Amino acid sequence: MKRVFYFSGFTLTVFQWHKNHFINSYVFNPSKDGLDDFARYLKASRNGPARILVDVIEEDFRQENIPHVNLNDRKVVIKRLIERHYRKSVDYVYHKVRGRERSGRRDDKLFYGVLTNPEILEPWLKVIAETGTEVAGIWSLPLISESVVDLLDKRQGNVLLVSQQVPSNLRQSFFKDGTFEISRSAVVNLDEANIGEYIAEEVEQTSRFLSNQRHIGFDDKLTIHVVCNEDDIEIIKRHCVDTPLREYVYHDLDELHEKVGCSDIKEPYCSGLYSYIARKLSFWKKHYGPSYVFRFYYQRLIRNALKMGSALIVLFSLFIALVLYAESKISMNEAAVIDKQSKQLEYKYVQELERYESELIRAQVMKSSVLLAEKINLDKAISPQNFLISMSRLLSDVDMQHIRVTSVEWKRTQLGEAVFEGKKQRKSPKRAAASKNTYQHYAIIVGDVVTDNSFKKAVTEVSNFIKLLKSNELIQKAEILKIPFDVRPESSFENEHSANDSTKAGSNRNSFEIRVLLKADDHV
Amino acid sequence: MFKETVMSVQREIVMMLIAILFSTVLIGASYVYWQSQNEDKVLAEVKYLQIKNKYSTAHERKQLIEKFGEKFNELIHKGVIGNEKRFSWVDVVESSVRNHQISYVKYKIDKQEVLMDKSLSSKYPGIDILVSKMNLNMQLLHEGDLFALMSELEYRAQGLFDIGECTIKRNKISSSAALEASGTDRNFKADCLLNWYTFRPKGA
Repeated sequence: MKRVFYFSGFTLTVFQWHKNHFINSYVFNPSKDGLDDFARYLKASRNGPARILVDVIEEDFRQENIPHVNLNDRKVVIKRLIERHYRKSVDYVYHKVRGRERSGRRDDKLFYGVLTNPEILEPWLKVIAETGTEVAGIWSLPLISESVVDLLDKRQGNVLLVSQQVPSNLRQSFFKDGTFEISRSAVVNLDEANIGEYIAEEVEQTSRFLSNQRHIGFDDKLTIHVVCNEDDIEIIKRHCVDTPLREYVYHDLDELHEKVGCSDIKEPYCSGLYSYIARKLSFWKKHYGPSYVFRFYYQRLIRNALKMGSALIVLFSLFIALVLYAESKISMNEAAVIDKQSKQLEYKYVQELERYESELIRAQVMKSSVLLAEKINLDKAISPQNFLISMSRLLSDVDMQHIRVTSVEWKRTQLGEAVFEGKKQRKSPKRAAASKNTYQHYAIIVGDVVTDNSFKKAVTEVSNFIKLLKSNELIQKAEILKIPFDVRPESSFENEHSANDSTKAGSNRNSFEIRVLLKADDHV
Repeated sequence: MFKETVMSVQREIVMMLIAILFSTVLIGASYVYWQSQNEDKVLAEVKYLQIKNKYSTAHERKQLIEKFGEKFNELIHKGVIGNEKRFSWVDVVESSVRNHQISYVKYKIDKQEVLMDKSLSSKYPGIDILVSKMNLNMQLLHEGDLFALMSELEYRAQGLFDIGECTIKRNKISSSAALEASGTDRNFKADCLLNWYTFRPKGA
């Protein structure tokens, strides 16, 4: 159930709503009995949050320019402004910045509304506080009347909304292009004159006031929207005559009730309509009131938040627990499946392989031994026997009959060794066995040229031998280490002649020495 | 006002604390249960992987044995695996000298050594490679005697060897000796280095 406390400045009417339906209303006078009744009502009724709607004469609306400053400074400026004009009403101020000036300092346009005499609310607030009634907020009726203008769908131009919430008051609120600017409330006494006369007179006064205050120009058109009972429309029309600058539009209150969806309300004045609008206002958009008035409501919000939080925590923990339980079950099932697979595999192992276990340990030894033996056997293809056979074939050539080989030194080595640079390194067996297809073999061939004492012929024979070696496809490289007559500038040479023997250059004067590198890959 | 507010929501605060406590206990207990189940699963997975590895390793080894077993037995038979058969080598050398009437043979077998080489160990894991060097110094009638000796060692001796280096030199012979009808049986001198290899399981 929602409750709206409509305060007219004298009486306080409680409107009770359930969802969108009007339940009932109670009117309380500000007398001691009235306040006691109000307290009794509050104690007896369910403590649902109440919204207070104030519709009092003692309410000012102004628009002033203030310097454009940051938010904190603006608060200070507004506080000083209010304290200067309305010292007692510091807690009953609503303000809103409505844009900035287009020229000059480009000041902020500050609109504010103030309850100039908040003491009239205090007896009621005291009862509310004593009964622990929750108050969601205090709203100004003129400020929420923008909703009624929206309802009338008249947002353009100068609109003056005339309505009567209680029999003794007539409220006129002025809107420029749908934005509230000012409102005034006048006391009426229907015993002295009918409502039509009052409206005509009050509208005229308000029009002049608006012109004087420059809310409208002197030649601006003003549309007056009168919300009233169907019965009063004819009475009002008799007194309110349209002119070129004044146009009256009448709205039947019952039609508006139907339009907003609260046709079950049977109030003769507009307070019911406003309370209907106010029943759903959000507490953080309230207009007036010191914070202590709302403390019970805040406590309710905190209580609800804590309850909600507790429920969410429990729900969250239940959710997590369920997820973990589900995960546990999945893990358990998976573990069972894996365990079953393990047992099957183990059984398979026992059946197929366990009896070979002692032999299986030797598998790697077998593999390494066989592969290494094969490698050694493969490398054995490079042997001095094969090399010497190749050499014999070369020497059997008819042109090589004068060459006599006296010594062959064969060595197997690995590629990359500087054999031909004179850095002979003896390769260790382990390195040789470790490498794969990297062997080469070379030989140093020492021999004589069987010829007469002609150096030239001996050299020619050796050169031919070298050429033959080089032309052989199995020989990669051949290099002369020593020739019978070395005519190269870097070599030294000596010779001797005598009468008996024409030349004495030593016993090995026709000897030569050749280093040959063979292609290992062919396994010559 | 703050105190009043706190007092007014005291019950809800207690409720929330109970809710937090309940949730903590519930989540904690669930987590412990989940963790224990998860550990069981992980243990089962580890056990499965161990068995799987054991099976696949054994299977691979069985395949290796099927592939290399026969050749390995041949190596055992040939004396390449286990202790080296020096007696066999010497026996073959001696018999070759007799058979081919090699006039002079001198041989020397060095102490057996283990080849310590990381690349060898990684390439041929599981075995120790041992090598014995044999130096052969010979006086030969012709170079064919050398090759005959090598061939006999290859086919008759128990073991595996390769030739590291070999030198054959023609001996200097005086003209008178050369002209003799009988000639000489020491026309060539040969010096060769043989590496005899033996394998054994690592650490055996």
